[in-house]
Amino acid sequence: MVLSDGRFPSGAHAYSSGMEQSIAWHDVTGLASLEEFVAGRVATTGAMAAQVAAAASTLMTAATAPQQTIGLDALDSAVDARMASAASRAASRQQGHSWLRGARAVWPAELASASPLLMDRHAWVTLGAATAILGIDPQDAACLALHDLVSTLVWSAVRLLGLDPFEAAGILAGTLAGVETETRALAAEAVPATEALCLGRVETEWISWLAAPLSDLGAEAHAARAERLFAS
Amino acid sequence: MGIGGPVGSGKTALVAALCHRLRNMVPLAVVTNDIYTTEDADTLRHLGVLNADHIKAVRTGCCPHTAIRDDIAANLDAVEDLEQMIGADGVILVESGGDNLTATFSYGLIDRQIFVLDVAGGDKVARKGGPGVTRSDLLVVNKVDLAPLVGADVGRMLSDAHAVRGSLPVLATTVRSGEGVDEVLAWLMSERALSRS
Repeated sequence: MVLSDGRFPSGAHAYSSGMEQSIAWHDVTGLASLEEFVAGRVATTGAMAAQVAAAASTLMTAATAPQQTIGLDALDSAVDARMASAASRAASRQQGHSWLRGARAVWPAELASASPLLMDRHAWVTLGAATAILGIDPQDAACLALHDLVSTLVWSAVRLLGLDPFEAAGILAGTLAGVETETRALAAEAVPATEALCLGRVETEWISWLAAPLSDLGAEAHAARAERLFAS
Repeated sequence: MGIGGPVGSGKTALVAALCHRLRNMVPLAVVTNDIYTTEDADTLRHLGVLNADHIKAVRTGCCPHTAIRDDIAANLDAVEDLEQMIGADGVILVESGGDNLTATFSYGLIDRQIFVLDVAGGDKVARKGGPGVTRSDLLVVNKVDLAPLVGADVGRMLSDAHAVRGSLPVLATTVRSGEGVDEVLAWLMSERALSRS
């Protein structure tokens, strides 16, 4: 609950995960189009986020130390391969860095020894691995990742469009409730799928390749803009 | 060193003036927190006061006060990158985005903070207080040359500020002409010496 609180100082408040550019392109103009956009991202990049977080979580509890390194490196490469935009990849690693800073400061005893292993990785990899060390299971790690994705999109839209925050919170809650069963199922499937990684074999083809190409293009356009409020 | 204050009070001008004086004295870098663009960072680069790679601009996601107080992660990232470049012995000026009187820096991010007001923003501002006015390590009252033009009473503003700040210092400046900047610099260097001892 502490980690999913928007007031947790993880640096997340300055990211929009593509929402700022979608608004600039008039793809999102109000509550209805926000809800559609969120549903699209949940169904595509959300699936990958859930699987990667669950796989990273599994590695930290089921693999030996050398295999954890091989496995997390492989997951990192898998995320690289699935994020077409260089700007998105940079933002994802920066978010992982900032998130880990907050988590390490709050749980120094638990996370100190694993910190070198968790640094400079994509946010979903870091989140899955660190939460496993904190005793959170793969399914809950996947739900945390989805919560982070959806709340980043929803609250940045509230700030940029002046949307009714109660209606927006309704979209956040409704989306997460609607996707929880599927997110938990994806995470549950990810646990046996990570078995090869736990044995040091680089097998990540099973991770979803669904993507949102317009968001990839948007991320590149956003990074080139001078006048922007959000880091992504 | 955090430098905060309302929009248009002279934060960027003060940063530029301090950079001119500091750049040959200490290893120096700047972080800007802009509301909307990289304009402040660009201004500093165009003025040529620092190498472009010693100036970092942080995005604040519509919330400049959050980025310097509640969630300092992005600013810490910038400060740590710059610290690696200039060394732990240097001075990093962190300029906030223009905000309101309640926007102050977290001491998790900075060691000391300056709050900049200007007389053209109204001479009642110091009396109204707020954490920036009452608790900043140095309060700068800028644009004192404009006081006669806007009907502001500088003496009243300074005495109001002293009344709410107790023993904390207050300096009057006209940064554009350089008036008072050396006093700000002297304060900064003495605080630096204290923090290092």
